Amino acid sequence: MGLSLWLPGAPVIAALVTLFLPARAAGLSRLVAGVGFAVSLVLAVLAWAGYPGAGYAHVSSFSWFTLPNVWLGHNLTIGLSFGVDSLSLPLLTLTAVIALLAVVGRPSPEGRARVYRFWQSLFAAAILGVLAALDLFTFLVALELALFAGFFLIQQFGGPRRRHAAYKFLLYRGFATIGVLAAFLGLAYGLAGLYYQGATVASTPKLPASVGSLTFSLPTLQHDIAHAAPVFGGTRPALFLVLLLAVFIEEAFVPFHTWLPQAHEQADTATNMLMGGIMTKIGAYILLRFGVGMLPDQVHRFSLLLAVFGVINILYGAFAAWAADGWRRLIAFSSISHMGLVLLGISAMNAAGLQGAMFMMVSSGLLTALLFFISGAIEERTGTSQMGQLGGLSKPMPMLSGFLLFAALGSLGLPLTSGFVSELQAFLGAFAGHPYLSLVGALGLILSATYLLYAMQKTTFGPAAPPAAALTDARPVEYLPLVVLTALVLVVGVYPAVIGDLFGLSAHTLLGIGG
Amino acid sequence: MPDLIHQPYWLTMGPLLIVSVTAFVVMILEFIFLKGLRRWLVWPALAGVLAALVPAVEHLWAKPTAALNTVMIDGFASVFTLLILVSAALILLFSYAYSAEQPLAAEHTYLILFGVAGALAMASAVDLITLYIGLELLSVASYVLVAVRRKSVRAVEGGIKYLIMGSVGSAVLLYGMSFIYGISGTTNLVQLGQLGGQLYQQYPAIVLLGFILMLCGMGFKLSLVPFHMWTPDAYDGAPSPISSFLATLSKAAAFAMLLRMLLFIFNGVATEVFYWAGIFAAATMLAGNLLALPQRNMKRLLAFSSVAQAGYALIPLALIGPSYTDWTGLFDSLAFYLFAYTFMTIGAFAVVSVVGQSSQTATDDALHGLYQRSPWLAGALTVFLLSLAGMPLTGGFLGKFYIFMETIHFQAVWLGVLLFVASVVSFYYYLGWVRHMFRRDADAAAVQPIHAGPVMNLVVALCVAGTLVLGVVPAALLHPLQWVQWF
Repeated sequence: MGLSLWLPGAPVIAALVTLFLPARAAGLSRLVAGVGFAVSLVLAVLAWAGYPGAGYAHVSSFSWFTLPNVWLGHNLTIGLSFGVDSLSLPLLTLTAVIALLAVVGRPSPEGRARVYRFWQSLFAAAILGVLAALDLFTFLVALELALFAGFFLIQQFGGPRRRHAAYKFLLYRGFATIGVLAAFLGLAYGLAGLYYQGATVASTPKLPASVGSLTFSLPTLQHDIAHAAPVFGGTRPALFLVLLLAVFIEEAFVPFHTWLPQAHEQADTATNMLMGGIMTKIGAYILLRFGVGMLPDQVHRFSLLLAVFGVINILYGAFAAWAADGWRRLIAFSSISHMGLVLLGISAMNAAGLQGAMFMMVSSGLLTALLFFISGAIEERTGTSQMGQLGGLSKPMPMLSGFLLFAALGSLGLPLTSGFVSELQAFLGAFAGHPYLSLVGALGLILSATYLLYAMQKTTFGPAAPPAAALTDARPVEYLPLVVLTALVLVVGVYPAVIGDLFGLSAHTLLGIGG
Repeated sequence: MPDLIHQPYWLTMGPLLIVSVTAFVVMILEFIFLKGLRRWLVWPALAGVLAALVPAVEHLWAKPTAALNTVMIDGFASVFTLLILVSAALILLFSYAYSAEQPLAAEHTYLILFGVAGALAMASAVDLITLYIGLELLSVASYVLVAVRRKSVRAVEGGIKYLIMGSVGSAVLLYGMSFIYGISGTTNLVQLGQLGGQLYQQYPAIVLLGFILMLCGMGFKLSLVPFHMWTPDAYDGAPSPISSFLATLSKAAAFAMLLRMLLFIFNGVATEVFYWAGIFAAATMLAGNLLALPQRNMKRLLAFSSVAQAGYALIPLALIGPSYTDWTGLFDSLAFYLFAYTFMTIGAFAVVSVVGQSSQTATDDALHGLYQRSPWLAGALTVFLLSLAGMPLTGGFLGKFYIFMETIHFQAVWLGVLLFVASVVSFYYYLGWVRHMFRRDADAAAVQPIHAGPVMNLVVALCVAGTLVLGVVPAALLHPLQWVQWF
């Protein structure tokens, strides 16, 4: 039995343990949550080191329960099943890193450590679960858990308008989950239905024998759907569009974007790191795993739609970030802009585009988490993240300002940072697919330089805001997230092969299926 | 003298007889007992219910057998008998714990038992007359139970409303039955089942009319929209254990009776009429959840929530199609959902009653900062609410998921999608409560801790266990259900 179960399992156990700790022991519950994520991180690294190079590895599969007679006399066995592959491994590692740093770098809210750490552990565990799930039901359970845990994190520990933001988060993502559910069941039943509609295995000899029986197992579905593609025809566009709609909501793409900036504005810093760093990457992961991986012909078919939405989001995100008056909104919109580029890269359906999209997910995750951490640290000291009320921070806190400058430069794609590698590859791929649209999308690069440097200038330079004298620079414990995230951004930027090998493999696997 | 003892029908009617006898014994004991001791009558009553569980479990996988042509013991009856007895046991414990805080007329114990006896008859009878008598036994007991605190204006108002609406429902049901009797000349469901298709071909309009009238009549009991108007008033006026009795036990019995009647009378060709129930299900899910949104009173909110939940549970009935062999999945999903629903609803009512008593208010302000006052109760209520809302790893999620799978199976995906849309709407009010509970009072010293009695804690703990077990290891129920021979 592989170790994948414990990737989400360790933080789940940590969450349960925190419930039984004494209410006042804030340090203890923080420690427990940290240990949970540390175990996940170690396991993720081990899984990476031991990855054989193809397919799903370290699989832990249990059959959970059986729903009798749900489809023409077939039973449906539902599994609790986890595993890793070249697409999920870097994302899992990223998740564990960000979650661990969020615990190390940010203290618990006063007097409520236990509840906070419980939901935090559960939230990150659920995201790990989504990324590692190899069974549709497991996937959905994890997705819903992330939804509820995220809701409670925002609603319990957020800012003054947290209630509104939390409900918006819940409703938008709740509907997205229904879309994912519908698409999943459509895939599973679509394959099972081949039997029903007379396209039996016997009449189309190339179909594998498992086609025609209902299964939720991801590897089986992936295998079957590739072979059944010519038969299982008419419903594919509809399924893909439902999936795409869900992905758009998950990714907060225009016009379904309003929940994300609001959630980011209200949530606390550690939650923002988790949401911006990894949760917003789940939509793209779903698109890669289920769209590109299972319905590649539909991605080709709707390639223009994806590209147009990608460009719209790059530009809209950039303009909205420019117009933002606070760092939280700016980072939220710049993350939407990043994810627009991910969409554009995927739309090209070539190796460079896909690989660029995957790079962008990791890069945007690292940089968004770093930016949120720094802006949170600034806000903690000055009491605001509004650019208009900040200024001259480079004098009282040179280190934080320096890291902020680095993160901004990384985010706008300076060479030697992960942002550069990602943008380069994604645009290389995109230009091959949709040259004119990509040209328009490339304007986003210029815009991002504009808004980030403008915001930097307002925050760190210029005349200092009144209480500047009393401000302190980063505390020792805060250096850990700053340094680690910065180092990772540089490592990916200087030596992209560190994740590029796996992502290249993944891109080729995905394209190999689609042709 | 013929052998009175060794007759098979005693065994077949086991649970029903045990509960009825217990009810009479408790009634007589109530005259004898001193006033101060009458609260203890719950224990013999509980013993009777638990004793009745023994034959019920024994029958679970038995072959269908009929007794005296009026009572049938088949998988269907056994599963619902089990459900009714389990909820009866929980409700009795709940009412015992409740009466420790607020005196409740001692009659309520045997009235509950008579209600249970009626419910058991509804689950196992196969004759329209017997079914109707069971229903009336349950209804009359419930009318009295709702108004048992007769000095409270709200209780009397709720009781009267329930009495009037319930009687209208019974009359409509009887009217529907009379059409069926009129064209077939029999009240026996087994005989009707053999006639079913033939009747529909001869008198399609009358059969359809009978179906709709019977559905509407039972709709009052199930509080389906638009027959739900009595629900909030009755639930609000009744003591909390009785509200949970109406929400779970009485609804489970009504589902059993509705399904039994409709399946036996309208099977065969007439199954297309079942699609009409889908309209009720859709209206009930949506209206129940939308009406709950502005509700501040805790018990009224739970009432609307139970309206919506009945809508979810009606979906399997609306899916009944011509293929007999596929029905088992429908019954499995209905039974699973009702079990999960029973645990989470009784649990929610229990916590709400404790909280309401200690803070002397019926609005959700009572929940404010509950986590600080009692982490255990707040945690338990969170589990129930999340399960009602449909969070994974709780029974409620799996129940909904199973019903959703069935809607795909029977090609009525619109109902399944509506089920999930309605659930997302319900997130708003269920999670609103959770928000209240975890809110903090700035002044920690002013917080008054809440302590529930041991029996109340037991009820809550059992319900938490049931809700979580059904969510985490659903095989515990799904597996036994798989071997049930429904009819």
